Amino acid sequence: MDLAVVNSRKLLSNVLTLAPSGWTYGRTFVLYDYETESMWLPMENEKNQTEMVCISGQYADQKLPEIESVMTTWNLWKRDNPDTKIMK
Amino acid sequence: MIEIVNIKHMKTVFAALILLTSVLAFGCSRTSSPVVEDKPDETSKIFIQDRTGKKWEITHAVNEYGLDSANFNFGLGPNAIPPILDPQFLKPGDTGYPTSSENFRVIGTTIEGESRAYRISALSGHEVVDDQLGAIYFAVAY
Repeated sequence: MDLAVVNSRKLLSNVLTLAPSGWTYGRTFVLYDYETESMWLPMENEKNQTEMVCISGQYADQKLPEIESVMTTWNLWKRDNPDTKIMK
Repeated sequence: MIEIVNIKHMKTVFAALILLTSVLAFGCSRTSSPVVEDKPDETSKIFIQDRTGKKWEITHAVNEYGLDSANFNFGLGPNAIPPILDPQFLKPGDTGYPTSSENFRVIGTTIEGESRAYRISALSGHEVVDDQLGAIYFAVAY
């Protein structure tokens, strides 16, 4: 899987803890949230954004919108964002 | 289920025989198809079972999104790939902060005016980072 995506994990006032479910669907990971064990699958919408769509569970049909991100290399990211932090 | 519905349109003389047949067929389908659980008094629910024995109900995924239970793979269980729940970051000047010329792969995002990069190599063992910046809660998934 070569999809890297950033999504909101807040639904109304509820913060979700997203985690791998251990399942894949086709070549895509299936996530679930600790709070309700709803299952979430990344799907592309009509604006070419990758939303997390709840396919099963308490949040069925809810969507977590994509947050803009870039797949790149460190040297280019650092050049364009000189103050960037990096996860240890 | 279809056989039971059809009974209504059968002559009563055959009804008992048809009922017996459908009950037997139903019994067989339960034992031969472990991923599907049929309950005669409820709407059918569809489950997939992972390698830990945990059952995941995917009825909605199948009926509303047209997903096929056969395309759910791996089934490692929810604890096999632990997400990163408390990510720690290096800022410029910190020991271990990479030099500007290194060219490993990252996913980068800028939220609430702060830029953060995540090494793809760090994500590939975890798949998900649960992160937060100000009021924005977000997940990085790979």
